[in-house]
Formats: sequence, structure tokens, C-alpha cells
Amino acid sequence: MSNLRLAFRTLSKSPGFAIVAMLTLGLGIALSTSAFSLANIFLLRTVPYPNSDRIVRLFRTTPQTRNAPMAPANALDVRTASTSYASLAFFYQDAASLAEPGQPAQQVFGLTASPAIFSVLGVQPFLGRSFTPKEEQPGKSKVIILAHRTWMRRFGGDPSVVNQQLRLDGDTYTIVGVLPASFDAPLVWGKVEFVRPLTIEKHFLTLRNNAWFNTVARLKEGVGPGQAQGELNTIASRLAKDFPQDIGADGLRITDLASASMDDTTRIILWLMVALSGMVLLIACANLASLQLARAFGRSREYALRSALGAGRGNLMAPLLVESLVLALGGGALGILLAAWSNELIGRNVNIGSEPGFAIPIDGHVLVFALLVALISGLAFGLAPAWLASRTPASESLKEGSRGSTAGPSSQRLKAALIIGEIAAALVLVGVATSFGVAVKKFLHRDVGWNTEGLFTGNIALPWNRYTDDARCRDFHRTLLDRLSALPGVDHAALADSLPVYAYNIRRNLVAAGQAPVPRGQEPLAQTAAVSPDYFATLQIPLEQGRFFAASLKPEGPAEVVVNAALARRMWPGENPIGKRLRFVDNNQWLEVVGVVGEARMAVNLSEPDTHLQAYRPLVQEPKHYLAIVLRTSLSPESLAPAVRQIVAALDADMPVAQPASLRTWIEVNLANLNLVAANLATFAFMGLLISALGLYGVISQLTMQRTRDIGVRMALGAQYGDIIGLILHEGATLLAIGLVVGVPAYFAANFVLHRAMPEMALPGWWLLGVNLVALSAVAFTACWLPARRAARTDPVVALRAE
Amino acid sequence: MNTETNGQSLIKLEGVTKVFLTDEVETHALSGIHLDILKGEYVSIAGPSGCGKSTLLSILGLLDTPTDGQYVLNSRPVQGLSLAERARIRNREIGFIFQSFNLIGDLTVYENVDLPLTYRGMPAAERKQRVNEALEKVGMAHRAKHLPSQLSGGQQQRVAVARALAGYPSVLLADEPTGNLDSKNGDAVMELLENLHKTGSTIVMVTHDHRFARHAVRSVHLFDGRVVEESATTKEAEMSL
Ligand SMILES: Nc1ncnc2c1ncn2[C@@H]1O[C@H](COP(=O)(O)OP(=O)(O)OP(=O)(O)O)[C@@H](O)[C@H]1O
Ligand SMILES: [Mg+2]
Repeated sequence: MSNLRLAFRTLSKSPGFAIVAMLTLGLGIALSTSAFSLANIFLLRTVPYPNSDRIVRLFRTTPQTRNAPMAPANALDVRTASTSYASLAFFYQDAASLAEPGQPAQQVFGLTASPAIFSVLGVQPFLGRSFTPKEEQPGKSKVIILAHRTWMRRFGGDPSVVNQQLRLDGDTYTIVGVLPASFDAPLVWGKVEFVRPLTIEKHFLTLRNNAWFNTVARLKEGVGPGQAQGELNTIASRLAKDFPQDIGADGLRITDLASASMDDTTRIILWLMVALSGMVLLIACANLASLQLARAFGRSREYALRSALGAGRGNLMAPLLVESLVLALGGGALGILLAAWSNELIGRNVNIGSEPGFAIPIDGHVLVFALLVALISGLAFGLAPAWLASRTPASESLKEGSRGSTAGPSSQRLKAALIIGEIAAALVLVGVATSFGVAVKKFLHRDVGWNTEGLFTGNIALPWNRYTDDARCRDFHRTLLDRLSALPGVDHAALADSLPVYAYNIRRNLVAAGQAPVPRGQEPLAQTAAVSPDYFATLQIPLEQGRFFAASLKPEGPAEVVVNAALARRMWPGENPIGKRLRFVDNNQWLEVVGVVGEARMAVNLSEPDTHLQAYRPLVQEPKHYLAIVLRTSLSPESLAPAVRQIVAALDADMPVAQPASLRTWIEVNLANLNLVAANLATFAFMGLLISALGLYGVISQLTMQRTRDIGVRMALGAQYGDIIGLILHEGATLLAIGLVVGVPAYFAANFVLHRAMPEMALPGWWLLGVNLVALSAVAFTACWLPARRAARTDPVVALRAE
Repeated sequence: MNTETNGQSLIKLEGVTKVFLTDEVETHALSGIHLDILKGEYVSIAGPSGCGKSTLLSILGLLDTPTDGQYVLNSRPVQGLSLAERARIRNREIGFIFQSFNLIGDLTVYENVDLPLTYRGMPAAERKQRVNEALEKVGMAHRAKHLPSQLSGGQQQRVAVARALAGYPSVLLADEPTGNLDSKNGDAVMELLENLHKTGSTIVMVTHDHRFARHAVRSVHLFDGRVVEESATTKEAEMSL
């Protein structure tokens, strides 16, 4: 306790040091804490359900992907055959149009899931009831459970909504329950507004070549993932034996829900941010260690006296250590405040499911983290100085006027090592920030193979209950396209089941006619899309050979396909692909290649696609319910929204146009997180650079101060201004050079990690390293220049002064 | 032995004063000093503590500038010279020997002696020859690779003398060169200076110690910033006989 009092007394005697120390630490801890709270919410607490470590996802694996959904019949077989799960549910995310009397239809996002979903997640409705197993059967599933926010927003939190009716996709549903807010897990499901039962239709029981069932399950008590995986392997091989045509080389895999809900890119970037913010903190700690060292040695006589009076090493170290911990905790408190503020700022700008705004709380985990980080930093910057100071021999420091006792060689070496580490760390921070920044810039302006400017887009969903057959869908598509094309200012109009923004949703294996058979499952994989004839002209995807789909193409006409150049090269290298035939393995129909187009790259996806092959089918021959509208216009794309809405409403009053926007805006919203990361990294780099420059300045200043006399002597001996400047700069340059040599491999390592995380982003090359080295050196030289100039102004008379 | 004292004036001070201003307090460290030092002279400056000996020496050594008065070194007035020019003159014309040796701790004996020569941009071969010669003169050649901390005080001071000598300065300025030494080492250093004087060096030495002052040929007594007495020492008298 007396040490604590002493610490406060000493610190209050040097308030400047205390304030600088707490500010530096506070900033460092704030950055780390903020980065950790992101990792906490996105990586560690993705799944907010009870015993969430037992919740798993089951995936189908193919030679090309590890995260594929299962076909209904296979999924049902897995459910029947497995014994590892306490409960198991299928689900898919779904958009529906919600129309209420007197209000325009609106597209809402929800979950269509097996009744077991709630027992899998361990969350039950807090009003009403959950689904019954019966409600999975056809004709029994017109019931719905509302998410908490839907209930609050649309029904004002009225408890009497249970048993009320609701019109969804033009059908009447009965509200049977309301979910608690704890069901929300936007990182897992997106922002869900309702849950409805997934109906197991009769034909699902035999449907094995069309996969859209996602599976989530809760492991039984006492069953580990390894055991469950073993069981899945058995089931997979039995399925493969029983249905070789449909299963082929597919396997099954189990993984926990949390890791399945986060892509590698985000994961790596988040941990990278935690690591880099930690580096800033380390730099801050190194600086404080240096400062403490100087203070400790300033008091070395006091230490010698204490030790002469019989203080043991522990007694000697304790006061300094306690002082460091007091500073660390002060810095920690400041850090938490700053982190809360920066989380608020980040949270407002982060986009989840293309919607901005996400709470990044400072919860118990984060607080514990901040506290630990503060304590560890306190130890980190307090321990070494205390140790070294406690080593000053009693006799040494009591010698009157003994020079050199103020700076032993070990403290000198430690300071040099610290500053070298700081410079290396600063290089990494600046390197990552600039690489990332430049790469984001390049990524935003890279050639995606189509023109993202001047496009309007919006999404529609044709409800299955009213668009029950292909003919109805086709009619709707045709009329809609006709009316859209006739809009003034619209040059081209198209519909597609997905756009090359994040991914073409459906990937299918394919075989070419007349080629040696490939083992099932090993066939080349292609991204596929169903598009209307004008799609290519609308997006300006260039035609390389042949032709686009004709507007006159009939559903029952020749089955056609347009492929990209990569697919043509892969399937028919060196041959003319036009007129060749291919078939998707999930379908027996042969398709004739009529055109070859360029590759449409995904505008916002940082990950390398699992295939570069692309195949387009005409929408008339593969009618779809979920569609994107794309219009090429010379007007401002947003301005088309009301007209498009009107056209759609005129065709189907219950059908909303979701997310109507300019495609460019849409892309920018999706890349906002990238800019956020870039801003974060830039902050880290700036802080790291600033703190390490201050550190270098401090160390060089101290060095010159300790040597004032030597410098005076040199001047008495005739050293010129430039000689002294050179001497000091040389010290700085040596530290800088070693720091950079140490830092360059770390720089490359960090860049390697970045590249792994974002293969689609082109990282800048050597020139950027050059720029960074020059910039860092310039900062370092400025930091050394000031003390050097002061040193060169030393009055040579000091040489004459006796000590 | 006065052959070297050929009557040529090396240092001429006329009415030199030095006033220090600290916290509104004026300290008159020197008040109107007139002093002539001829080439080859060995002058000791004595006087009580605080009388201005070190101040005088620092002005002679161009470490400091007088507040008023004239200083002519080698028939060249030195007031109003630039800092760079003053550094150049210190380097070529003046050799310093300090009370606390003032060797640079990070440099070896050899490098310490070499240091002023490097500031002169002298070619390496010539430097090497001069350094070795100077170290021979003070009998420290065998310790050339040692660091100052590995030497005794007397040895350190001999190295400091070597450093002052190596550049063939016009004048050696010593401020209490024996102040940090015991009498045996002090004697050795004084003997060294005396030998240098015999071979023609001009030496100005500040000392408290009458015993050492006697080594010099001429003694200047300061009191309260003024020259109060100039005398040829007994030794000088002996020698000129
Ligand atoms: N930088 C300075 N600022 C203010 N006063 C000074 C300064 N240097 C010297 N003095 C004052 O000038 C006077 C002469 O000082 P000086 O160092 O020359 O004395 P000294 O004769 O060398 O004494 P000692 O024998 O103790 O070394 C003293 O009163 C001293 O306090
Ligand atoms: Mg003095």
C-alpha cells in the first residue's frame, strides 16, 4: 500500500510524464480494445445462442467447394440416419413481399426453416408458440413467427398479434408467435424479420440433383464434432453407393456455426487489425519503457542508497513497478472510454447485409481484454526498467560524480533494442495501411469486364404460390421487360437471377458432348446465371464470338447457352466453341453454345472465385422467381426508382421492388466496410508512426543530453556544427537502418497475410516499399534532427566545467 | 633556454572583460585584462577560486567570447569571427587539457587522439603518424587500443595531453590539469608539460597549486577578475641564469 501511495506521490511530482504516459497508453489501449471488440462481436460472439459451441452446420463438399447446400432428399436421409444431434433443422434465407391493407407492398427478409430450428438454436418464441412438427407437411405451413423487431416496428409491440393474420406473398398466414430479441444474429442469418416453416413437399423425398437445403444442428451432449463427422462420412459413402449418379464425389462435412458464418477474408482482416493495433500498443509500451528507464536511472543514487540501507531486489523493483501499473490502469480507463467512442463511430459506418449500422458493444469480454492488456502493458514497460534500476550496485552510485552511472550499457542496449523494434513495427503498420489503401483504390477502379456505371438495379421476388408454373413466370418477365424498355431514358433493360456484384449464386458442374467422361463430381464447375436477351448489352459484357440470345428465342426452341472465354478455352482448347454442346450434370438436356463473352468479374468480392468459368442460360428456358432488374440509362439511375416501382405494381400490386438503387451506390455500400478497414489501418499507421517518431526523438535527445559534455569536448577540439549534427544523425541513422532491416521481412509477412485474405485485390509491389522506406526515414530524420541541432548548439565551455 | 621565446607575440589581450548575466545578476568574471603571451612561453595563471581563471582560459581558447576588449591570436583579431571559423582555429591553433581529462568514453585511446585530426580532414596516413608520435611522446603508445575507462587517471590525462599535442597547436591551454590526480601522477603530468615546453610548445596553465605554478616560467595572478601580479617564477629565474 505504501508503494501505491509512493507511486501517486512520485507521479504527481512529474505530472508531464504521467499525462504523456497515460495518453500514449490510452490511445494504444483504445485501438487494441476497439479492434478486439470488432473481433469479439464478429468472430467470437457471432452466435449469441446458449451453448453455441454445440451448434453446427452440415455442408456438402465437392471437389470445388466446401460449403455447398444439400439436395432435399439427401438432407432428409442425413436427418433420418444420424444419431449425433439433439435436433437438426433445414433452412434457407428467403425474401417475401409483405402487403398489409392500405400500405404498399414491401419486400421483407426472412428465414424458411424446419420447425426444429428453435430447439437447435435454443431460443423459443416468448409470445405464442413455436412451430409443431406437423407444420412441416404440405398444406399445414401457413403459419409465421415474427422477429422481435418486426413485432415492435409493425405491430407496436402489441401482445395481441398472436393469431392475427398477415398477408405474405399474397397468401394469408397466421401469426403464431413472436421471437425474443436474443434470436437476432445478423452475422449468421442477416436481418431476419420472420420465420416460416419449410414445407417438405412430396417430391422432395426423391429430389437429389438440385441442392438448396442448408442444415444446422445441435450436437447431443457428449457427442464431439469428430464423432459426428465420422457418422457423416459413413452416411455420405452410403449415399454415394446408393445414388452414384447424383452424389458422385460429393462428401459431407461438419463445422461450427460461428466459423461457417464468417468468411476467411473478414476473419483474417479482423485478426490482422487486432494484431496491428497490438503493435501500436507495443510501440507505446516501448516508448514508456524508455521513459521509465531514463527516470529510473535519474534516481539511481536513490536506489543505491536504498540498497545500501538493506533493500532487497523486490523492494527496489516494487515502487517502479507499482508506478507503471498505476499508469497502465489509468491508461486503460482512458483507453476504454476512447474505444467506446471509436466503436460508436465504427458501428455507425459498418455495413451488415448491406445495411449500415451495427452495435459494437464493450461487453464483459472486451472489458476483461482491456484490463488484461493494460496490466500486461504495465508489466511490459515497467519490468525491464525496474529490473535494470534495481541492479545498480550500491557502491557505484554513491561514488561522487561518477560518470556513466546514469546510463549503464545494458540500459543503453535496451533502449536501442526498443527503438529498433518500434521502427520495425512502424514500418509494418505503415506498410499494411498503405498497401491496403492503394489496393482498395485499385480494387475500386479495376476493370471488372463490364460497366458498373449508369446502371439501375432493384430486386423482385415472384411468390411461388401465385407464379406456380414456368408459363406464368415467363409472361410476367416478358411484360415487365417490355414496359421497362419503353421507359424514357432507358437504353437497355434486363432481368437476371443474379448479378456479378458479389457472386453468380448458382454454381453447376458441366460436361461437354463428345469428350471422355469425367468421374462424377470432378467435372469443371461454372458460375451460372439465367438472363434475359439484353443482359449482356445492359451490363456491357463484350461479345467475343457468335451472338447473344435472340429476343425471339422460344422456351421449347433449341436449348442455348452463352459461355465466357475461360469456359470455352477450358472445354474446347484451340477449337471454335460455337455450335459445341454442353450439359449441366444436374440436367439431361444438351445445350448449344451460341456465343462467347468476356468474363464478368465480381465487383465487390475480395475472395478469389472458386471458378472463373461462366455460363449463361436464357431466362425463357430457365424461368426464375427471384430476379434482379438492371437498366442501363443515361439518366441518374436512382431517378428511375419510382417509375420502376409503378411498373411492377401495375403488374402485381403485391410485389415490391427491393433495394432500388444505382448499382454504383450499391457497390459502394458493399465496399464501405473496406474503406472503414482502410481508415482503421491508416489510424494505426499514423499513431504507430507518430509514437515511434516521438520515441526516437526521446531516445536521441536523451543520448545527446547524456553526452553534452562529450559534445562540448568535441567542439573544444574543433568539431564544426556539421560534425556534431552528423554525429547525432549517424546514431539515429544506425537505429533506423537496423529497424528497417528487421522490419522489411515483417513487412513482407504482413503483406503476404493481406494477399491471402484478399486474393482479388492487387497489392502494390516494390515501389510502395521504397516509398514507405523513404517516408519512414524522413520522419525518423526529422525526429533526430531536432536533438542534433540542439546538440550542435552546445556551448563548448561545458568542456571546461568540472563536474 | 629562452631561444624559443623569440619575442614574437602569440596572444595579446587588451582590456578584455567578461560579464555573466544570470537572473538579473551581473557577475564580472573578468574586468579589463591586459595580457601578452609570447611564442614558447610557459605561463601559469593562479588565483583564488572564482577569480576568473577558467573564464580567461575559455576566452583564450575561443570557447567563449569576451564581453568587451580585444583579443589578437597569432596577430589576427579573433572577435567577430563566425562559429565555424572559431571552431577551425580551435582545431588548428589550440590544444586543450582539462582537469577532468574529458576523454570520450566510447572511443579508444587512439581514436581520442585521432579525433581533432579527423575534424581537420587530414589524410589517414598522416593522421596515423601524428597520433602515434603523440602517444609515444606521452608514453601511452602501448595502450592505444584501450578505452579510457580501462586507464588510470594519470594515464587518461597523458592521453589527453597527447590529444592536445597531435595537431601541433600554437598553444596548449590547460585548466588545472592535475586537479583530479594524486601528487605522484600530478608530478608526472607536470614533467610532461615541462618537457613539451622545452621542445618549444607555448603553454598556458591554470593552477591553484603553488608547487606546480613553479614549473612555469611566468606566473600571472588574478584576483576578482583582474591581473594583480605578474612575476617570473623562481624557476624561471633559475633557468635564465
Ligand atoms: N556561465 C556562467 N554564468 C554565470 N556566471 C559565471 C559563469 N561562468 C563563470 N561564472 C562566474 O564567473 C566567476 C569566475 O568563474 P571562473 O570559473 O572563471 O572561476 P575560477 O577562477 O576558474 O574558479 P575555480 O578556481 O573555482 O575553478 C565566478 O564568480 C563564476 O561564478
Ligand atoms: Mg576554474
